[in-house]
Amino acid sequence: MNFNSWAFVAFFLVVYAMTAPLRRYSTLHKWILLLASWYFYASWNWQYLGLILFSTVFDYWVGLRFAKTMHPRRLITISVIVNLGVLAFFKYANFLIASANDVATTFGSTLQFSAIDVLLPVGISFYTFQSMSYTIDVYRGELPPRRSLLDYALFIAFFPQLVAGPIVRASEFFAELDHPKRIPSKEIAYALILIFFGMVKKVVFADSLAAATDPIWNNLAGSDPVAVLLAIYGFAFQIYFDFSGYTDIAIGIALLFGFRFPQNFNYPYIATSLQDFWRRWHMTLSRWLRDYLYIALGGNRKGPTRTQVNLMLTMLLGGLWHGASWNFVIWGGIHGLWLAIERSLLFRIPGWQSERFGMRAVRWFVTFHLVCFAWIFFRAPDLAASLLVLDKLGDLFTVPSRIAALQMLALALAAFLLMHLAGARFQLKHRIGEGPLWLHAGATLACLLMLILLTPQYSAPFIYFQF
Amino acid sequence: MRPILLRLLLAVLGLLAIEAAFRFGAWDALVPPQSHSGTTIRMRDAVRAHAGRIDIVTLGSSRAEYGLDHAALAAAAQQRGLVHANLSMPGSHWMTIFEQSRWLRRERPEVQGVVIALSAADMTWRSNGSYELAIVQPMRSPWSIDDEIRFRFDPKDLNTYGVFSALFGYRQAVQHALQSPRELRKSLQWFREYGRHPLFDGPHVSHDLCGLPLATVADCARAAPTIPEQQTPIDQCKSLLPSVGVSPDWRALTADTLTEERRALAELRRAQIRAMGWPRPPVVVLMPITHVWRKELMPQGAIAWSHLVLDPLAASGEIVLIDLSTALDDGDTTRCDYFFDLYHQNEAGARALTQQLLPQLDRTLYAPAGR
Repeated sequence: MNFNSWAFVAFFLVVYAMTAPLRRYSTLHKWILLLASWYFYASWNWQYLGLILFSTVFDYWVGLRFAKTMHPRRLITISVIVNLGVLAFFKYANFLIASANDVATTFGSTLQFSAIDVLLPVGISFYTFQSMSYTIDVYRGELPPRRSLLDYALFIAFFPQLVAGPIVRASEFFAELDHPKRIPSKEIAYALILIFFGMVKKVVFADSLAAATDPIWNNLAGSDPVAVLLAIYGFAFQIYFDFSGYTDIAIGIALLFGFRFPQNFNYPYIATSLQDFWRRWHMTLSRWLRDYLYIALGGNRKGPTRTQVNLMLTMLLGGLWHGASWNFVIWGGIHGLWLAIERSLLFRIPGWQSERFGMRAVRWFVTFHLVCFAWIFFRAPDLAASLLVLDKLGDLFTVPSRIAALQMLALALAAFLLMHLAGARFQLKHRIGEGPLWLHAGATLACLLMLILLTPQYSAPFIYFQF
Repeated sequence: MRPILLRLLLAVLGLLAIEAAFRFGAWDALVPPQSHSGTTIRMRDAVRAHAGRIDIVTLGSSRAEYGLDHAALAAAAQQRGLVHANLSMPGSHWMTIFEQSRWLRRERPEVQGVVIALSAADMTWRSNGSYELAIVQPMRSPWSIDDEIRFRFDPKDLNTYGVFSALFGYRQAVQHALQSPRELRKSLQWFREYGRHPLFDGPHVSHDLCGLPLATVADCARAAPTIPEQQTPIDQCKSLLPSVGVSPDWRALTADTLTEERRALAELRRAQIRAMGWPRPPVVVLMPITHVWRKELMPQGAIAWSHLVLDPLAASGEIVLIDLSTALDDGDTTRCDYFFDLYHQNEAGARALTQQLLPQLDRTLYAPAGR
């Protein structure tokens, strides 16, 4: 049940109609939301509902045990191993088997392991991280264990963020449950704008870009270098519109049910450093990696060399979190390496961090293109395809291209970049969402018209659903 | 909650206003003239611009557009004091024919007779695809939805939402306009000056298929073009290759052995033709089909099936049926000098066919005794 399907619209309206008359976060209200969330998850594959139930009950039990155990460290280790074990089995087992087979072949061994016939459960990376954040917070004493299994189950399964985030911290979620605040009508209006904008971002912008660039990615060998370059820029915006569109819808829907979710994107392509980029891109994952991995590894408290190592490890694992492929590891590695370079070299160059427009533009250009370069490894199906893209880029100035045919794509990308810059500069979503009636109604109408008139025939699945 | 509902209500009202504007033709001036909707708009504007009366019209697809000598038909009608206009449009199938008839009765109530020129291939299935929704959009009444149009609705296919909404109906036209505004401006200008729908003529194509091996679709698909004009039929053959031999075999079908689905379609089509309500029985012409189509692509027995559907109407005098499916054959094969691709006749083919058709049209439509 995708957010951009009629089935979801009907599902949402039914759930909203059932919960709206109830007192917010009453037991019945929470039960309806929980059952609806399980139904939502089961609509993808009911067999994996057992997995989410196991994760819920196990971490709930771990949370309660901390109060009684004499060995909290042992308990948190078990919790982390079990959570990551389940994730590793479903997500990485075949990757590890394939890698082991490759290594065996390289060393001349005939030993080959068979792949496991298992489907990746939707959203497992997201709810596993969310569940782990709870047990770690309880272990650290930053959060009291939740007594109510209903509350905990709702925290794990709440449908707007279940399959692709944002990754909400338990403390944020329970704070909403414990101290429900009145949601003013301006915020509800903002939620609606988020939902409509999210739909347009996904269904119109992301899918149109996918329609224009997927044929190039599917035929890299036969595409000319300029087309490949535009496909890279195209993917940069496609993944942004796709994921931030999904997030906007998720945050908007959650807000309609009374939950204020953390921001997940803040115009990442205006970033002027990679550090800045990670403060704007998939912010809840960055936060998770910082709080539960980078800091756990020692963060920047153990000297500059160890800091660089920690950064690199965090980004490599962050890359691997996205998917079981060496390409994601390389993607994380590029980010980790550049973050280290920024810290140890660039930030020390006098004038590099100047706020003068020219210097900011240079930093933006470098950052944007580095992010786009890394997207090559994220988007290409395998390492060979990534190398083919690099090969094509090497021919950019020597092989003639059919530029005329690509003019529209180039123009669209330029328009997206301008929209991005304008959106960041004027905070359009907030201004429109909380703006006067005519502005809000006009923006809603514009979104509806775009959804009707400009939706392409080509519909790509939400990219982050595969993670 | 009330201010939120008000905001949504205002947006929805705005949407309904724009939908109404589209229904009443607000977007017509910007529709690409070569698109499905654009073709209809050109036909519609030509009919509206024609100052005199129109007595008889030809409706049909590109098979009719290319396959008949419309100037000869108009001249023959004129000799009898009648005006016979060509309103055939590429892509027309039964949905278009029915909607065009309804539109003509509103727009030109003086029209008395109609020639429906389709082929046996157009009789095989109920509908030809959702693209036809774009063809009928500019002719549709803003107030009602015909069953044949409603039938096309598929909740999984956005293109078919045009059944209920003009905004969806013009989706492709709007997207085209936004994708290539410069090209659109040029083509609008060109068509305004030179590209009017010809009411009393048709397109003229002189080349033929004789240089191509046409024994089978596969032979044709393998051929290399020796002149540029052969590229189109070769491309057609290539695209049709996967469809060779997959059509059903209906040779055993008789009035007594019809499946429920076939019987329902036959009855529906007869009822729809009866309901067209032309003052005079429509003349239904089954246009020629090339032998490769008949043998390899159409259901076997499709021509007999067409007769199963139409013969009862002809027998009761509700239509005049003229079957020219094999009229341009020479033995087992279609004459290659009468076609320029796998579907369409060239000028010579159109002339030859019209010569065969004219005496029957004169008897049934033009002559005072026929009226």
